[in-house]
Amino acid sequence: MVKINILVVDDDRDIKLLLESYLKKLEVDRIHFTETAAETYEFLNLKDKNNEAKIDLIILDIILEDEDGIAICKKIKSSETYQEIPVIMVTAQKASKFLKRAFEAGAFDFIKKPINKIEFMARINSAIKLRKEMKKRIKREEELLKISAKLKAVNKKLEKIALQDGLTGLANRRLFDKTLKDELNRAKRNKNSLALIMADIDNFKVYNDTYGHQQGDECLKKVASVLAKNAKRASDFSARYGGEEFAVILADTDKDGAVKVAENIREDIRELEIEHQNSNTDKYVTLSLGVSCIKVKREITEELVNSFIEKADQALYQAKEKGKNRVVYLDFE
Amino acid sequence: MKKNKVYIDQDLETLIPQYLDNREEDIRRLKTLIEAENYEKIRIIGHSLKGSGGGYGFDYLTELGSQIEKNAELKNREDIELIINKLENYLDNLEIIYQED
Repeated sequence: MVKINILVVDDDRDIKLLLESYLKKLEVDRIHFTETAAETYEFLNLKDKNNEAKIDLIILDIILEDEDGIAICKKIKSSETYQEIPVIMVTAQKASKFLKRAFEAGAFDFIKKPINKIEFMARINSAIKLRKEMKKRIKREEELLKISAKLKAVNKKLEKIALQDGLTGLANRRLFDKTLKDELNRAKRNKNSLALIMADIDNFKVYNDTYGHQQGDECLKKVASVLAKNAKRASDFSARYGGEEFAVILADTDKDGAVKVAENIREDIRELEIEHQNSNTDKYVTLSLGVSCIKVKREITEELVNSFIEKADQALYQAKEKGKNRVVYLDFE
Repeated sequence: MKKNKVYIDQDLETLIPQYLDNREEDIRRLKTLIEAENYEKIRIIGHSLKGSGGGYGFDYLTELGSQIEKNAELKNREDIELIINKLENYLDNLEIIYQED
């Protein structure tokens, strides 16, 4: 239930009692009274910005002895907290000039003295209803904002999940495809060479058959972390290409640099000394790597991207043919 | 026999005795203020009476309040004294009937 608190600013005790007795008949939770401008400002805590409005409706008697009611109305309405709170002015003044000034000062409505009960109740009631609707709307908006923030966070998470390999935490194939294309374009723009390493765990099927799939997954994770460690520049990129195959993109890297990174990865994997008793290559898990380098001169097409991957794959194939646990480099074009 | 019959909303019944006491106080203050010729304070009392009278159901008090206010602005001592008399007279001969609105 929306609660309504009313502030009556009036310095006439008889009027105060009269208004209180009427207001008590309406759907009002609390009625507060202030008598002077200073007391009103202090009660509303106008100096403190961004506090929550503690009053939902202000009934302001225009002729106070120390400060003009219109000035008070203006001041209340210029505060961030109370600019939306309806102010109803009460006055014995009849002049339309006065009315004009009151509305210009931001008054929501106007009640003439002597107060007529029916008129007073009807006008206050409509202000209360409006304020209640406003409060409900504000609450709904706040809820919507919260929900939309949650949604954004979830979307971000989903986006990440969609581009990440769940097991190793490396980028997945989809992100690899996009990144390779982007990096080729960048390399072309900057007239840099771009290197690609394709890597494949040697005798991984046998490893899985020997140690089981859970161990196999552990092995994949370890290999992935070696890749991530070696592709450490901000522009370096490593991905799980599929199964036991991985890929590393090295921006602004030539043949020598790429082969060196590939060689480091190969050595690091071997040095992990992950036992592989049924391997015909070594007693530990090893990695074969194919490297290629490109200096892009022509338009980046899907065909070009594919043939670049193909070239690194050929190098990888040759590494396997030559006995595994080694790095082979092939020039692109 | 009281001659000034006034019909008042019964919701206000509990407030009326205090309201009328406050008017007696107005009369006492007005008499002192007129002796001192303090017209500004007299004007404020008139203005307040004008504002509250009709609200409580005493339209005549609003009328008298308005007269006090105007004459205070003009510093019309004699007229103010006449109005104070009317005010006293009215209050002394009041018959209030409470009714549902």
